[in-house]
Order: sequence, then structure tokens, then C-alpha cells
Amino acid sequence: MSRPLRALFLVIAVVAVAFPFAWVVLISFKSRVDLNDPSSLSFTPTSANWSEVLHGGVLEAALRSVEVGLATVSVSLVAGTLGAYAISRFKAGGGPARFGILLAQLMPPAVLVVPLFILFFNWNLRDTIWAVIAAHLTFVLPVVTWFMIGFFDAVPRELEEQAMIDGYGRFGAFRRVVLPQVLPGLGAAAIFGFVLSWNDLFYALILAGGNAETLPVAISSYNTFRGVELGAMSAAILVSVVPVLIASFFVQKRLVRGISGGGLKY
Amino acid sequence: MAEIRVEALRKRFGEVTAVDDIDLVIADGGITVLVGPSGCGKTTTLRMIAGLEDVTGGRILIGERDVTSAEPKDRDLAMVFQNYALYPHMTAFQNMAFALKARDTPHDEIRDRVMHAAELLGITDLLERRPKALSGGQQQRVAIGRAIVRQPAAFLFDEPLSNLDAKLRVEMRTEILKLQKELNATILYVTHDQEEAMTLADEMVVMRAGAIAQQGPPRVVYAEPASEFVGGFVGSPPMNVIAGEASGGVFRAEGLEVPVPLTAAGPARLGVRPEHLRPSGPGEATLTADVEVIEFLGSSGIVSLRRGNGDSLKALVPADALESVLPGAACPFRIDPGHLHLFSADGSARLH
Ligand SMILES: Nc1ncnc2c1ncn2[C@@H]1O[C@H](COP(=O)(O)OP(=O)(O)O)[C@@H](O)[C@H]1O
Ligand SMILES: [Mg+2]
Repeated sequence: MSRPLRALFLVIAVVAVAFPFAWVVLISFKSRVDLNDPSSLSFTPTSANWSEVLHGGVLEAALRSVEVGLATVSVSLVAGTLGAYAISRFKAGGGPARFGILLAQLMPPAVLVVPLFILFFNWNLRDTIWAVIAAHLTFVLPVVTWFMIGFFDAVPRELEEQAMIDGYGRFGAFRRVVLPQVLPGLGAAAIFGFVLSWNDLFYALILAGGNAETLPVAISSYNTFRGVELGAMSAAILVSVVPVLIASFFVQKRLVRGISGGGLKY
Repeated sequence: MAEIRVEALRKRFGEVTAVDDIDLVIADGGITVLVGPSGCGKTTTLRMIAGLEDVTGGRILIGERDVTSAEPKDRDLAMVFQNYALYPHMTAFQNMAFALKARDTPHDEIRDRVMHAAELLGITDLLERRPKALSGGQQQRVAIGRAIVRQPAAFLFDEPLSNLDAKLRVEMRTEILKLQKELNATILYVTHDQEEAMTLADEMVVMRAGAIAQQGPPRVVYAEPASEFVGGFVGSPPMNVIAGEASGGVFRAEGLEVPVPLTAAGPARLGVRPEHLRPSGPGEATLTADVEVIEFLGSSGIVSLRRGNGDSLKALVPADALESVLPGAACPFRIDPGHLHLFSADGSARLH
């Protein structure tokens, strides 16, 4: 592609992505009256939507989302790293495990949510963040594991064997020599897993739609029986989107490597 | 340093028998080289001795200690891998200090031992660099340094020079020999390169299909190969082999006759090393063959010959004798009767 053509292409792409954002930002500063014509550019800016969002439980919901995300990611990192190492090095579960791990993702979440709902109802965990964390683990853990398999595959076996000859057991060699090699990948997988959890509406809405609502649930609650409160919803959406944008900026390169199956340079 | 003994060592991977009942003594203070074609079980043998691979059967002793089921870290061995396996997140110094730290060696002693090894290998200036910032040859030195620092019972090398270019390989070969003498080290060295094996070995162990084909000092293995396989594998260009029949003290094949011991009788195969096949006058010739090409090496040349029956032979001819050899012409050649090898018809045994 020639330079000008590429530039044009990029400009179009940027506009296509940035335009809806700009619109959402504008709407978040519009009053109810001005929202009668959502696309109009002439209006009197108001902070009413933002103050409603900031005092109406959205921040609490965001905090809950952070808690859910951190808990989900922590468990996924520990279990996923160990599982991925076993699959990469010892062919644990045989050939199918390596790919079957993502198979569950092909199932519609609706299949899983009913049993989970009944389970948490019986355990008195409905409408708690624990229910949401457990549900999020069903998709974050496999994805993190899958990422880590790729990163471990890229670490030469001789490295840990050398460490074992040099004086460590299997676990010591793993911790001191293998783990440092996959640390960047681990970071990328963590952020990716966090974003997956952060964005989930489906499980959170059904399993914890009340007092334990997460940020996406809070956003969806602006879709009231009186109609959609566009202004407040837009402000809440921005609270949700900006952290994800920042996170993607930091991990994009590693994410691509993880998806393409490891390939870290040593 | 210590002697390593291996008794009836065996390894199966599913249906494949990679190592098949090997008995081996790796002498204290010498270099024993395992050599053989790719896939013959050299690496597997080494890895079992290192403890990286479980044995299917047999015993491994280091000194008087049975280590057959000991952890790698408890065997007191150091290993140098083909790809060096340097820890990428550590400097050369940290790489070399790693094993000493693992064994809680005091700080000052670590420093002294690393510096001493670095001086031996001429890598003092590289100690603060990460492996990525080192050339292949420098990485190789750090890997060897890391092994030396340990002062282990024995060193295991698995094709350590394969990743180096030809010139560096020859240099490092000399260097390893010097280090061995200096440290009086016990070394078990694996290579598929017969030349490397001969130059390094005090004791050479030729392997084939998981078993030992012959074991002995390189000179003996070269001069008296125990089978056609060993004769062909050791030496370059490889030994020529001619099928024929021995009887009454003479070996006969199409177009040639050479004297052999009276005891040999029946179908047999004659082995002739290229350097023992020389151009001669017509009177003393053993055979006549067409010269196909000559590869000039400087002090000598490799002459490719084809006999009347289609067999091809190679002769290694000193430069001054090359003049009489003309490509495209039929030339008389003489087999040196003092350096004949006679093998059984299936090549498995040496008759003379
Ligand atoms: N981990 C393994 N699983 C299955 N077969 C193996 C394994 N390692 C080696 N082998 C087989 O064992 C034989 C010997 O291999 P190896 O010891 O690596 O040979 P060498 O080092 O002499 O080239 C080969 O046939 C090889 O395919
Ligand atoms: Mg090998």
C-alpha cells in the first residue's frame, strides 16, 4: 500500500472508532431536554448526568467490578499457570487438553447460567460477588491457561533441566528459571482476563442483579421502565470504557503474541 | 572427580528401544566420547546419567554411589547442552553463580570461583552481559564456565560445539582439551561428528541403534574397526568396502586379488581406507579403475574411482602423487596389504 493510501485508510479507521466515542462524551453532557435531539451539536452542557452517575451507585458498582476482576484473575493466574505448565511439559490430559480447554467457550453462556443460578441459590450465594467470580472463572481461567500454554511452549526445556542439574527440584527450577521467562506473558494474560471479567454483563446480570451489581449491570439499569436514560448511561459507559482503553494500550503487543501461540524471543 | 559406571542400562520409549543394555565405564580424569549416527541413543544415555530421564533398566554409579534413582541435583554432575541453555534473565556472572547460590556457597567464594573460571575461559569482560548480548562462541564459553564453577564429579557435554561455525568449532575443541588437562576433569562427551570424537577422546565409544558397536582408544578403533559399520563411520572419507570371497589365503573379487590370512574362508567383505589405496605402476597394481573426479585439498586430494563392475571407491592421494592421476582415464591403483580389514559377509564381525 502506498503511503498516502495507508494514511487515508488509517484516518478512516480512526474516525470510525473515535466518532461513537465523541458522541457518547457529548451525550453525557446533555440535559434531558437537549437529548430530545441526541445528534444535535448545539446544547447547553450540564454536569447533571455525571453527578447522578457518581452519586447513584455507579462508582460502587465499578469498585465491585474491580474486586470481581481481581479475584477472578488471581485465581486464574495461579491455577492457569500451573495447569498450563503441566499441559505444556507433561502433556497432562493428552493432546485434547491443549485445545479442548477452549472448547467450553463454544457453548452459549445461557447453557451454563441456569445450573449456576440454581447452585448459588441453594448455597445462598445468589446476588453476591462470589457467584459472579465463580461464573467469570468459567471463561477467564481457560483463556488465561491457553495463553500460558503458548508462553511455556516457547521456553526451551533445557533451561529448567539445567536448573535441575544446577541444584533445584522441579518446583525450584520452575520458579527461578521458567517463571521469569513467562512473566511478561503472565502480565498480558492477567490484563486480558481482567478485561473479560470487567466487560461481562450476562452472568453478572442474572446471578447478581441486585445489591451486588457490577458496573455493566449498573449501566444496563439505566434502561428503565420509563425509557433509556441516555445521558446518565453515557456517563456510566465512559466510566467503564476508559480503563479498558488504557489497559489495551499497554498490552496490545503481547496480546497479539499470546494469540499467535507464544513466540517470545529468548 | 569420579569414575562413572553404567551397568546394563536400558531405555524404552513406548515401542522404541533407545538404549539397549549398555555397559560403560567412564574413567576418572579422562574424556570418554559417545559417538554415532543421529538417533543411536547417545543423548538418551547422557540424559539418564544426568537424571533427566528415568531408566527402564540397569544401574548408574558415580564413584561408589548408586544414583540410578537420585534427583539430578543430587548427582553432582554438570552438563553443557547443545543450545547452551543459559538463563536469559541473568547476566553471565549470575548464570555462572547460579548453581553455587543454589548450594548456599558463601558470597566471597562464589565471586572467587566465578572469576577464576572466567579467567580460564577469557570471558572476564563479558560477565555483566546478558546471554542475548553475547555471540554464539561467547555463550558457549559462559556455558562451559558455568559447568567448571561447580567443580562437579564429572562433566556431561551433549554436542556442545554443533551450533558453532567450523572455525570456532576447531578452536573450542582445542580449548576443551586444554581445560580437561588443567582440571584433570572427568568428561563424558556426546557428538555425532567422528572427527570431533577422535580428536577429543581418550576413550571412544561408537554406538549404533542403542548398543555399543566398539569401545577403545581412537587409534585402536580407527586401526582395527570391529565391524564394517565402525570402519565406515570412523574416518573420512569413509572406508571403501568390496564384497568377495576368501579362500586359501587370498581374497578375490571381480578384477582384484589380495593376500589375506589363511584362516579366512568363504564370502567376506574387504575394507580399505582411502589413504591405503594409492596410484601405482602397472606392475604392482591391485586393481584398475576409472578416475571420475578429484577434489583437491592442498596436501592431498580425494579421488573418486569407478571400477568396471560399477562399484565406486575413494582414494586419498598425497598431492605429489596426484600428477599421475588423470580424470577420465583408467588408472592402476594398489591396495596397501599391510592395512587390510576383512569383515564377515554381513559386515558384523572383523575377521582380520
Ligand atoms: N522423549 C522421547 N520420546 C520418544 N522417543 C524418543 C524420545 N527421546 C528419544 N527418542 C528416540 O530414541 C532414539 C534415540 O534418541 P537420542 O538418544 O536422542 O539419539 P542421539 O542423541 O544419538 O541422536 C531415537 O530413535 C529417538 O527418536
Ligand atoms: Mg542427540
